[in-house]
Amino acid sequence: MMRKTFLLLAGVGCLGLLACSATAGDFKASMKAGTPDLQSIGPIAFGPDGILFLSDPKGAAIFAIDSGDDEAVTHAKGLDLADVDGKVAALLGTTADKILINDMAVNPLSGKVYFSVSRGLGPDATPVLMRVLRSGKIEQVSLEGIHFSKAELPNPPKSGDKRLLSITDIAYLHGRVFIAGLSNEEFASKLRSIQFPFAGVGGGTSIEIFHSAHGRYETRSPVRTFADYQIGDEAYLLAAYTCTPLVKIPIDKLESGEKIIGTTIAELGNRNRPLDMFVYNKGGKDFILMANSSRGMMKITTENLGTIAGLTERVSGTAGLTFETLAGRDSVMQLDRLDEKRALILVKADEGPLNLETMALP
Amino acid sequence: MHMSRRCSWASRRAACARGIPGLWLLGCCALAWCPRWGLAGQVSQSEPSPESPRIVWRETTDREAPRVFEVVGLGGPVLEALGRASLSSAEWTRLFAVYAGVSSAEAPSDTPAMLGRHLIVGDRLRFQPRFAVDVGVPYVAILSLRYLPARVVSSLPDTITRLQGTDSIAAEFALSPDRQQVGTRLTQIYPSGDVLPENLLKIYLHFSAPMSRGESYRHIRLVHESGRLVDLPFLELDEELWDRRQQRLTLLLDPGRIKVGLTPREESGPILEPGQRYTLYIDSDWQDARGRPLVSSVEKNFRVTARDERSPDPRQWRVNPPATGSREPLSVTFGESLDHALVSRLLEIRDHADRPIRGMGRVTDMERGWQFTPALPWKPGRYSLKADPVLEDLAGNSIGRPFEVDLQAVETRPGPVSVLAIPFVIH
Repeated sequence: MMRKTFLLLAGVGCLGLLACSATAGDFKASMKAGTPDLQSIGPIAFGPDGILFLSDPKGAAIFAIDSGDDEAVTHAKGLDLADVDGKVAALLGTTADKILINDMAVNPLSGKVYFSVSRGLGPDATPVLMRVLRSGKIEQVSLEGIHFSKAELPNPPKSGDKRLLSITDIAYLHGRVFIAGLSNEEFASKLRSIQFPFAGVGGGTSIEIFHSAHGRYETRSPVRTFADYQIGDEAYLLAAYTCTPLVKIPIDKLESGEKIIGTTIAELGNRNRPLDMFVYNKGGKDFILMANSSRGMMKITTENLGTIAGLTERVSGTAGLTFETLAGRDSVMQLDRLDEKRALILVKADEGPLNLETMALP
Repeated sequence: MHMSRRCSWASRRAACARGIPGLWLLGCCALAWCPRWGLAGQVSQSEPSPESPRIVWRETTDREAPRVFEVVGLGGPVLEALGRASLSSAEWTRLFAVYAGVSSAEAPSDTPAMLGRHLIVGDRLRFQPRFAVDVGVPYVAILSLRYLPARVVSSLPDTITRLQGTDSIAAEFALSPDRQQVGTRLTQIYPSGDVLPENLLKIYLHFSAPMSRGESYRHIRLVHESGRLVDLPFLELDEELWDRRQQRLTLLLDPGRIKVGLTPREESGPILEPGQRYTLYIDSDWQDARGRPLVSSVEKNFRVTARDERSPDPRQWRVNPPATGSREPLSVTFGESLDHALVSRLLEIRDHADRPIRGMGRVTDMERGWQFTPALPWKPGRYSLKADPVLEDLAGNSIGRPFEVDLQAVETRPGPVSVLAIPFVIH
């Protein structure tokens, strides 16, 4: 999903933020060689210097691994690969209907594409990390003997518990790892923030976000995906909720741990779930590119993002920031930024295989 | 489980088609051999001589690789030469590869070979898959002698010439499901009552065995009494809200269509309407973790009543203490149905010193009550029933906060979260 942050930071300069004061050595100094005890694999996200964050919903943990893939390479050609799920499944010794591709992340340095994969559909599914090289070759990323560090999320389920926290997105923003999650029991949507490098075992700060709708503040809605955005001197988190309001939240308030009221800046229509999004610049203007479950891919303007008052009245249809829906992008399952001018999408047409396609940023 | 193998030769097909039940016989069956076809149209039609190479698979005691594919009949000199030649991974794969999900009718031109290791074990060339073979997936193992590296061929000209005369060979393998195993059933749906609020937030589906993940929402339908299918009633999360064993699925009714004033509800209407009847259908073609359909479809009928916008009030709960000296259950009645999963997890009994009392809790009376049976007989004294304010009713109103909150109204802002205690005495 949204491994947009580091690219964005690189693109706009370091902005004096926390992430820029640390060096590669700092980021990797706390890592130790070994094999992460992953029980499952969910959303993944790239951080600095080829560090990849892996979420483990069953193990209630976040792993930061040194992928070793930290050489900056530019590629003239894009990456297009048909039947990715079929090929991944074949390498894993099974068929596409017996694996789940949980997430996709492009390494902003090398342009290699990483997939979080569950081999098997049952509770004993094997978590696997796969990688597509720019040649189109697919390989498994071995986690044996790699350098990694681990942050355990607080209050993990006890043995025999049916309670579990699903992780819906993860991102590295300004020196912190943000994790959006949803419980399978109490209706509690959590956004958690953990300082990186991980300072021992600790779950970081839990953040509760409210956003406005019809004069009320609703809370606890699940955050589906998020990105960051800089408005003047202030950094914001853009959070897309499952029922498609797009909300902006000042990041400095997230770090304080206080209860936060976000501002709804767009209603992108009902009967829809946002899947992935990132911010990009084209022609001197910033846009948000968002893939959706049923409303296609949206190119959202950001011109009023800093000044928009927030939607507090009942909205019929869509409102707030203006957007256009891109034709022919109805079946995008995963989206990430490939480079400054291109995005990578994982597309499923009808009941067919998943295809990896490069698209020019609109 | 049941192993099947198919061979292109009619005589061998008959032997293999008999099937050998049980994995424990894999090794035995693997002694039969099933050469099938050559690559690039070079179909081998002649009966191989006894010393010709053949492909088998067999069980091992290695938990990491419970089944392996082996070439037997290559002969000691060839294996020794291969061992000395230090083949690269790509060279090994060209020589001997296994392809998953490939039927005999297609050449695996665009399918990558399974990941795994090549080993020389005794008189066999072994391919040890990195991942265990799957039930129901066809596998094709191909030995392509044409890809013997030149440095191996040159060291054993006579032997290689003989082997290359046998051409490339292939064999198919598959594990089919054991039909004798008991199928999986949907055992319970919560809430268990048949009168539910308009703003019902969650439904729990319990299964007798682990289920598969990834296609769950396709197998669940909500139908109005008129026969109209309720469109997208559930919040469809790719992650799917399963428990660790994948025996319980949590369905969230779309909160955007429950909360008053939100766009989804304004445009698509509420999911449930008071006074109407609905049926929840669960299709039997939903597969369990072993890939088998459910034993039967299940449906639950219910009637809808008015919205519930009030938090559960523990002050209204009735605690009925049992007699001292007995192990009779303590019973609690809530006055309304609460969330089954949360009642099961978030209630406990403490003694006068706030120590937990060991025992077993049970949700009763369509989630309107709870019983606690102590491990040891009750002693006279002061106790308390402790409830976590996270505990919710059927509409997601928790003790600490209603589902819908007007945070601009100061008096309804949620207070600090703490554990509630309801004292009681056993005489």
